[in-house]
Amino acid sequence: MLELKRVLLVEDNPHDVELTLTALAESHLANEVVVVRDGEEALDYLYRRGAYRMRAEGNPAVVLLDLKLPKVDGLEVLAQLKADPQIKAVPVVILTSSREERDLVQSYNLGVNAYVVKPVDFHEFVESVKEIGLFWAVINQPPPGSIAHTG
Amino acid sequence: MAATETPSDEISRLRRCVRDLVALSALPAVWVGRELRDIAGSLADALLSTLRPDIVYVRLNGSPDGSPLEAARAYRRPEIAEQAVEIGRALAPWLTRDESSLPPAIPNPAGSGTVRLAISAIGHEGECGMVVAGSRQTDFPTEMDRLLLGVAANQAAASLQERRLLTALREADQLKDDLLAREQAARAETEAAEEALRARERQQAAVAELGRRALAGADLFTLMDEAVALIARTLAVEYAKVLELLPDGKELFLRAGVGWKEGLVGHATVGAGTDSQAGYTILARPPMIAAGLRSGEPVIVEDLRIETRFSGPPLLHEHGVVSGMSVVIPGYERPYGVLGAHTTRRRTFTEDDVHFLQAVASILAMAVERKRAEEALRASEARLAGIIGSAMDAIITIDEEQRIVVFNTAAEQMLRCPAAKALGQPVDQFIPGEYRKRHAEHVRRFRESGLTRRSMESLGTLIALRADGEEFPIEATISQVEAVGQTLCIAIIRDVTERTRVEEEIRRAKEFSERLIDSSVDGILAFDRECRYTAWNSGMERISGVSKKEALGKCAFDLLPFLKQTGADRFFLEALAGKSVVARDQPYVVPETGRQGFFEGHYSPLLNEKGETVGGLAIVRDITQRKRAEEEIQQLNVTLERRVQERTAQLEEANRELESFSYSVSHDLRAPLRHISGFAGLLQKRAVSALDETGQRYLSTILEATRQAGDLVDELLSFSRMGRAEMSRTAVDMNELVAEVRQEMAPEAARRVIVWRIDALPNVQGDPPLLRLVWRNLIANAIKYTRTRSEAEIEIGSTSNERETLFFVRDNGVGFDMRYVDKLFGVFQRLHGEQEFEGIGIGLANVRRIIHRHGGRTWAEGIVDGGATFYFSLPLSAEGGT
Repeated sequence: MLELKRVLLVEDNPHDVELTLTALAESHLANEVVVVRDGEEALDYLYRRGAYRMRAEGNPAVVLLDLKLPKVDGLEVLAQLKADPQIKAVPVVILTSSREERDLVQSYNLGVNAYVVKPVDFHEFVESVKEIGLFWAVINQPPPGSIAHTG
Repeated sequence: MAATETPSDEISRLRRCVRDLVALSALPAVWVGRELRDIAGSLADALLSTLRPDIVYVRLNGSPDGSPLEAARAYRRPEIAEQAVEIGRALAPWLTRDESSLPPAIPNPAGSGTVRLAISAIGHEGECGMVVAGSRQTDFPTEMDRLLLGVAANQAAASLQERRLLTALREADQLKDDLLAREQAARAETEAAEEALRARERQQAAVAELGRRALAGADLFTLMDEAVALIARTLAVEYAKVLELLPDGKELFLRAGVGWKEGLVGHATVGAGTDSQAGYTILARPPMIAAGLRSGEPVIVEDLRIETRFSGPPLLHEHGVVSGMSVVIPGYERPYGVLGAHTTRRRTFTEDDVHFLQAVASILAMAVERKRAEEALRASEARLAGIIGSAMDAIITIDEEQRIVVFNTAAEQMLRCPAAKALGQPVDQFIPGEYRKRHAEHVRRFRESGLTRRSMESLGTLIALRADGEEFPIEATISQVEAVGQTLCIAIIRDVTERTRVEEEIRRAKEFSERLIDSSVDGILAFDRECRYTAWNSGMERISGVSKKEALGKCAFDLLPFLKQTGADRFFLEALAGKSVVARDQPYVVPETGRQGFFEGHYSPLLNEKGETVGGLAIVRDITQRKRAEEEIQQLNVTLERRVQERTAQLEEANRELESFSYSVSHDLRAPLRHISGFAGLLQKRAVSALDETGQRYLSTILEATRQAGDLVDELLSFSRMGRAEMSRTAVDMNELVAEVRQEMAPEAARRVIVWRIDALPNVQGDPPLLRLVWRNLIANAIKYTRTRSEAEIEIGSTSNERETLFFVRDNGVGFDMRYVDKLFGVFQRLHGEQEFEGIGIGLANVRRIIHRHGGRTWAEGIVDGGATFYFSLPLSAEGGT
């Protein structure tokens, strides 16, 4: 729990967590994923506080962030992240069910790096998550201080 | 005589002598019937022509007055005839002496030398006169000269003797005549005395008659005519006249006359200067002109021809007037004129004549004066009658018995009674019964008061009674005068019906305006310069709770103390300063009850006719109710606003809820779908071999249904967003949109035979993406529902009217049953099965929503298996839509 992983998945719904992890597993990234269940937990993880104050230093290569979250919602988390010079460089991908334009606009305004609507169709969903995982956690060169791809 | 005389000379001399003797002897025949003077002259002439002496002197005695008649001649030198007279007179004493004692010659009185004389007495001892001839001839007188002179003297003597005889004879006759005449005269004198007496009587009778006529009021001019005729007749004169002194005092006008040439009477004038007898008659006595009182002294002319006092006017001369007399006809303030009587024969007027004339003049004067007085009287009467008659006021005079004695025209009209019927009647008939007693009493007291004049207004409104029974109000002034031995009351009466009516009208108008003011809902008040109320209507009573009686005369600020407290006193002062001001929303307090309210007042100055501010006027309205209503409205407005805000908040909340619903749908509905799909997919992956064919089909169906549910959710969300999305309005090229959509749809149409008929489409105002979606839906439908046709026909076109542009998409597809046309545009409404034509039934709902938002309409026509046409219209104006 306290180690640093390359993907931070912020998702409260366990079904989604499972499906997402299943999809990431196909990209062999399942072990690189830390799952947190709400926004507060996500922030705690990123700022190494609360339950995560003992975790190793460094930032994940990407944060997969759901918008609809208990306690602190995704946009709030995004806002805090992108407002903090120390961690705003961490790529954040919104992974959401919302097709709402408002969410889209707000997210980009806050500095999101990508915005993905979760497809209903399972196959499409799996494909989407695999590609996201591959791109952000593997292909993309994360900012300094992130966990590098180990191969 | 020459010393030497020839015989022929002798004969010639004799012949001449004979001729001279014949001439001289003829003289008595010439002298018959001649005057003595003529005889003397004739004798002298005869001697001069016969003797041819230088001078001849004839002297005849026997003239009636006893003085000798002389005649003298000088041969060819008449200028020395006077000397002949001297010579003759000088020689006269010798006539009685012996001829021999005569001097043979005397010194030539007219020159040198001597004159030889020959004298012959006429009659015995020259009793009848003498003749003397003188000549410077030395032989004078010759025998012949003496003979001729003697013959002439004898002839003269004979003639004179004869004359003397005849004269004596005549004198005898005369004496006889005289005796006879004296006898007759004596008789005549008696007769004349009697005649004079009779004449006087006649004159007196005539004067009396004239006087009677005058007194009887005979016309003045007729009287004058009668007077002059009387004068002519009575005085036996040819001419008589009345001359009227004209107003200018310079001329006298022949007013009446007898004997004058035709056309003069009534026309001729005589100068009034002293050169005329008449003028003299007037002007000779200046003091009397001024007085004009007496006829003055008569002016009597015995003989105008020898008159020295005046020349006499042409009038008299032209008529051959000789004698006359004239007297002044006296007049008022100045003489009326002159009365005259004239004759052509010389006449001495007697004292009786003069008295007669004066008497006539007096009568005429009296008649003139009477006429003048009458005229003056008539004039003044007419004036008085005019005044009385034309008076607007009725004038009624009553005597002591209350009987009417004067009743003027105005009275006739006012009382509708002719004067003839009113005069002599009691005045009571014009007084209504109930007033008669009071009237009589009033008149009695007035008479006793001795006042000459009194207005009857003290009696209050007086009522008179017209003859036709109508009563009417009058105003009267009564005065009394002493006349004809009694006291007359003169009442001047004015009909004040009209005035009373007008007064009544004014009173009513005033009352009306007062009522009007009183009935005004508004309060109306007026105040003077000291802010004391001078008017206070019932409206003010209502508003202020202060009665008119309480308010009038009171100072506004004392009566209503709140005025000063609220500062409303300044409106009074501003009005008094000449300004009109409006006082709004002024609070007031009713003094007694303490009730509070609000009023609105319009204050304005009250000006007098000179434009000076004498006070102020205010129209006051109680606005308490209005104010309350306003406050209520304001309260309501506040409430309303709050409710609107609340409602807006509610709507916003609803909107937010709707949004969050959509959000939830988007998240929460999709999530389970995704999970179903996800786990079904995982199951399929992992357990596909463990499942039989049916199980595998079930999984596929789950996945498919899930995908469909996801699509439905997505479409529903997009439909929801369609209603909320911002809409722009720009010019849209519909041709371009249609072309794009066709391009987009190309894959679907790829393996199909589709005949497109696309008209040129007009541009419209609208939101391009939304309109594009409309075309996309309609064209997609057309392609979809013609799928069963071997050759699809799709027609796109438009028509326009003045309000809107109409577009349509027609196909030859499966069409639809018009019974379900209403369902076409509903959300999730489908007329075909999913197996037949795929779709979720939201396309046309989107079309309708978009077109409605543009302010247009949508509808469709179709026949089952006969094709369908979808229409939409867009308004030409950019208005409308949301």
